[in-house]
Amino acid sequence: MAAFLCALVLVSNLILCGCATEKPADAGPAPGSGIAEYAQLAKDASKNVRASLVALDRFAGSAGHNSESDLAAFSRAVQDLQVKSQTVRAHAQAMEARGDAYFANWETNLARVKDVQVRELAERHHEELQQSFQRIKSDTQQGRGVFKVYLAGLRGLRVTVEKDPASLGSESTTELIKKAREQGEQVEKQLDAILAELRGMAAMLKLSKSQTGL
Amino acid sequence: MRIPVKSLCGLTVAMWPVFAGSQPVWPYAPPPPIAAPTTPSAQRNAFNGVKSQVGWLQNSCSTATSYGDGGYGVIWQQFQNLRGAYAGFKNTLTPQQLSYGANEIAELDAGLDILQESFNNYQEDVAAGQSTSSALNNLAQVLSRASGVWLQEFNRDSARLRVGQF
Repeated sequence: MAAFLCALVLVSNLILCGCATEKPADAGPAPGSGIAEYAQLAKDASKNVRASLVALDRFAGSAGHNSESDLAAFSRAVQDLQVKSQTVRAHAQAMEARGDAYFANWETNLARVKDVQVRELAERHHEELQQSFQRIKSDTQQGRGVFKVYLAGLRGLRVTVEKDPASLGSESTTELIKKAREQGEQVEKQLDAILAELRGMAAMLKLSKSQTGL
Repeated sequence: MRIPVKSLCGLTVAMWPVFAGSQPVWPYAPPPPIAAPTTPSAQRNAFNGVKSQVGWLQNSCSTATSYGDGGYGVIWQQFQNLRGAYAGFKNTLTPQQLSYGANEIAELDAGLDILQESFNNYQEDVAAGQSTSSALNNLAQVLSRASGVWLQEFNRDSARLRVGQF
């Protein structure tokens, strides 16, 4: 009887251990899903930064009107940028926090895709992919830094004009607008660099536009 | 009267902090921390807890202005509750889920840090001369929408990691 119970416990343990080691996602990831996801985020971010720059120009052009609605529209544009950029900023921060482990996860996913050609190309271009990862990491880090300054500049401008609506046409506010525009354009450049790098990776892996959106 | 040696040892250990004049020290090792269960039902409960906490946070954002200067504190408290619910949720994930979804978890962590930056923005804007009501309005609007974006990511990542389904 005791031997039977032992055997029963052993079999149960094997079954339970089997369950515990099951992978959270059985199906392999779509080819280039990490590349596609980051490309989509970078493209969205670029669009949002462009929209904020248009709003900034429109606000600058309203100098002399002292209109509350112009300020409200600008304030909404700043809020939009804060909210819509949240996901890409979170990805950038996670990349920085996890470092190489973040990209190792991308590579692991590439090694798990069902498409044999993509897997082989990923193996063959391992070195170049590593270099691309490093450049993306560096561009992302720089972009994140410039974005912080840009957003702070927009918020600072909003507070300045809220305190004194007549200051919109002043020399000091014009300088604030100019600086903010330069920083926004710098963010756009960083995002373009990231997209170019992702395009290069997609080409290395012969991923189609439908797979990456690039 | 004979005093057992074991009792003397115990007494010495118990009184040592008093003699030594230091802070009392528990003479035994602390018990190991109780690990949260990682069962599917525990995960589902924790997942629902995070979702409803986002709802509470958004609720506090829409009513914050009616609390006057206290509005900031109300939103802050709800945000801390969200952080707590999310930390509890992470404790229910299996080692496999934590490893497989390490990037997603790091992104969700970073997302909460970014939401928290809104509170710093409020402080900076007020210090720069913005009225507290206007700064609070901005904080509430940004946080309400941004927490919704974070929740979408949370839902998507949880589905990817098969939270509560394995």
